[in-house]
Amino acid sequence: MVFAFDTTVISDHSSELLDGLLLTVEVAALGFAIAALLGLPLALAGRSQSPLLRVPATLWVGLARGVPLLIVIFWLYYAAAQEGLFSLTAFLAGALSLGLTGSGYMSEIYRTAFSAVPSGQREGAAAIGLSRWQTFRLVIFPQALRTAIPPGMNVFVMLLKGATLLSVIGLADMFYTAKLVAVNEFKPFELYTAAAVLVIAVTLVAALAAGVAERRMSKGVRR
Amino acid sequence: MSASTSSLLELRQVTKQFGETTVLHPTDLQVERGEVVCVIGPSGSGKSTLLRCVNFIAPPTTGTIVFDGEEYRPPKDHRWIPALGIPEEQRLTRLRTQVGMVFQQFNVFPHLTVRENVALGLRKTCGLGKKAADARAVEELGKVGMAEKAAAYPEQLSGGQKQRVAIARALALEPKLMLFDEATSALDPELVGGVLQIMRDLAAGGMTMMVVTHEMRFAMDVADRVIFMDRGGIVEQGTPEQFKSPQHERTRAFLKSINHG
Repeated sequence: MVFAFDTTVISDHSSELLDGLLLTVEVAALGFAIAALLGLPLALAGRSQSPLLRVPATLWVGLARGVPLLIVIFWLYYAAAQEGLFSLTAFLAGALSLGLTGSGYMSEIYRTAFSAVPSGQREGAAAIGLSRWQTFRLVIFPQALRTAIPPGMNVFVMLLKGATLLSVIGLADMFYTAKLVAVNEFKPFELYTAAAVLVIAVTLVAALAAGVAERRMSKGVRR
Repeated sequence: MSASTSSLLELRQVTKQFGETTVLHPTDLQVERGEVVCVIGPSGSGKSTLLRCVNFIAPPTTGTIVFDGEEYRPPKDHRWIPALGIPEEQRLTRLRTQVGMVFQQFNVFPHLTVRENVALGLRKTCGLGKKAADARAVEELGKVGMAEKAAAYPEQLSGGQKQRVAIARALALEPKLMLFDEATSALDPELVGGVLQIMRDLAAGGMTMMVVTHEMRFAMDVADRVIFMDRGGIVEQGTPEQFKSPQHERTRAFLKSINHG
């Protein structure tokens, strides 16, 4: 039997695959935005001296990182709806699942990034009369953010790959489309390869963008 | 408040503990307006801690600090609800705008230009607009010979230049008291002189200063009063003249060790 990689099946269905890819990127991007936004107050609460903030934040981070993404997806999409708690579209449930899972990781990334800013920066800011909040906003956060970009990028890639799980709740993402075409055309190898190549391409573009962002924010700081 | 008749700064029974370790034993100290006080002593003697207690960068554990007629006490522990500490915090930020501090490690902000470093305090604590703050910042930088570097980032500067920026940043807020915490200890030897000259000029201009230093020549030339600290307490204080023949054995031993070190 001669093995042949049939590129025509990919080009024939390229527009569906790209539509699917767009949806995957959209859901991952929204999920990442949720993770990045939730992670920040979580990290701050986790560093707080007050147990009232620290304990819930630590619990959240543990849960977010510990519960498998697939279970979060099922819980938010099926379980909650069945119990009549709330009902979400597949897209929203997907983005939320990615966001909740990612928030635990982002929180840890921010926390490490804050610790990486030398304590002298805090003292220098306090000495010119900046309040704690001003010190955080104007001195600590801008310096921590650029430390957080490369590992934050990893979380985005993780969420992008995690987004392929969303086909299980019927989100017509890239993997869902690839599976559908693969079954119809009996060409699984071609289609799953195409799907993998597409994800890698997006990952590379994202890494490039993160590199640019990091350089732009690293003004004045040798790395 | 008839603040101008009394000392600018008074420390009453100020102590500092880190956990079980006492780094500053009960200390009383008064600093008069226009006075230059140099604090010397071996490392770990509590000199820096004393300085840091003054502007609450390291809040004292017990005791009272009176600055320009206002009393400041150790902040209460609002561990459970930190927001309750905000009014106290606001009072302390007002104290800190009146007390400039220069650090051994400069602590300039690397993500801001030299001008922005100086303008930040002017904008955020003095309420100046961006334009006014920038203009004032360049003016202050001019006084320490750094105006032409206004657009540079700190990493492009030498240690001495960074320290000048840090001094300009503190002076821009027109403080009533300047604290120098080993301001020249991290500098290459050839850069020390320039920074010390700025400090000499400042002292000559009537600025009230507390200077923790290892530069004995500077202390002897500039100080109105020298304080020797050891093991978390003031051992001896007096004029530079009096320090030429110290009373305490520990002071003599320290002075001998740095002169022959």
